[in-house]
Amino acid sequence: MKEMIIVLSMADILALGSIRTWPGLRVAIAGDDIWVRGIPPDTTQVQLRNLPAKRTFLADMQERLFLPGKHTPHDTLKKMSWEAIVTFIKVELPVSAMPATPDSKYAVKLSPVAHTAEPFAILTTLQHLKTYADTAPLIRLQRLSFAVCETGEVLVIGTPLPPVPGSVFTLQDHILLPAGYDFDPPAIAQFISSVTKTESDTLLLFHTDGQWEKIPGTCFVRASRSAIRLTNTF
Amino acid sequence: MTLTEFISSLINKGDVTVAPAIVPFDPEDLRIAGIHLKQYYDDDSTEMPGQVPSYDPAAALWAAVYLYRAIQFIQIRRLGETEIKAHLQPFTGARTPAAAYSADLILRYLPGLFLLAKGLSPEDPLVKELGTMAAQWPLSIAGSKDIVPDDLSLILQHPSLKMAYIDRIIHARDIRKCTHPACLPLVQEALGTHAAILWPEFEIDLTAHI
Repeated sequence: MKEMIIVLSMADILALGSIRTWPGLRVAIAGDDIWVRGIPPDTTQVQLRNLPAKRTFLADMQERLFLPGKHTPHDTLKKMSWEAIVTFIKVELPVSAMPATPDSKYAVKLSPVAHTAEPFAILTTLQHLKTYADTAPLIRLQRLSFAVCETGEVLVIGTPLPPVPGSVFTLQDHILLPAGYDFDPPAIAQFISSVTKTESDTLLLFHTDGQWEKIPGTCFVRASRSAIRLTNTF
Repeated sequence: MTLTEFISSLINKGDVTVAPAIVPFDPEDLRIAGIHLKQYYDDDSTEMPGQVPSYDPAAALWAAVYLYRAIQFIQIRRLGETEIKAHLQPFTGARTPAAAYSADLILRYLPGLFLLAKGLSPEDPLVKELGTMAAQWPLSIAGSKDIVPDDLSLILQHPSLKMAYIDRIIHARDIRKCTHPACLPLVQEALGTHAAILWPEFEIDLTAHI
């Protein structure tokens, strides 16, 4: 005999995991059954005996199927689409049942860096912005948006930035970092957005002391002379 | 449609209808139209750079009547050159910055009308009249590449109108107007060192003009 073939119910598919690494095994699906072929006919492995097989056959070179101990063929192997068992059963990593809970919080720190990106935002005052907008070329204003807080501070975003006094920030994903600063270590930047659940149009404004503010995109207004002139704080 | 309704629809919706015959406007209609124009001046001046020129009600009202009549001449094709000259009278007041800006509130729509008339009949006397009139109001045709202004001195002597004019010719990406000797330094000042970002083609075209 050439090989052993077993037939399992589809409901028992997970049981095949115990023999997934056996070399040369191939699998095919026929209705609600799973056929497994390529098993050495003389194998006595315990994993095989533990499988919930519905039927077991021995096949010869002509792919005739024999019931164990019988000398006359029971059937012939039907045409099926065979697939290697290692690709048929995908491996999934187990999930920790009881993941550990961190017992300490990490304080975000920023440190000066030698290199810096092009500034994307400036924190200035409403009065400075009004003075600039009064005579600024329209083509410069049209590329800017701004958000004002009650204290009269204005965050202006866009490029090129207006030439007004203020603190400039660079943009990294949705994070505004003070120009000349980066996270310490820099790699934590990629975790910030996921931890803070930042929406696509929301900006996180970090200060040099690690304090930060979340500024929704709805707070920003497209810059125009009238929009800036008619903005007031109380 | 009264002149008041015409102005209101033009400003708020951007489309207008006019009366099917040329008849004098009712004095009350002209009075209310003046109030609408002043309100429009107050709103529009918040977008103007610097200290905006004062309001010239006569210029604003003249411009509104002129545009209304010009649209009527486009619609009523049987009227000839005599009627055009009789009803499309030039502004008789002083040409001041206030007059230029007040008239511009309505005359800024004139380039579009000029193109419409030119498209309907390029040799029409109306096209010639509109082109001649538009060239006398540089601020209002700043955004149009089809009309060349006669004289920029009035506009360039007023800081607010000068900046507004430069804004408009940059917005229109009008190389010919931007390279005018009196305008080129102002355009370069507006773009600063950011021309490559704000208007990349400008420097290339500028090189071609040297």
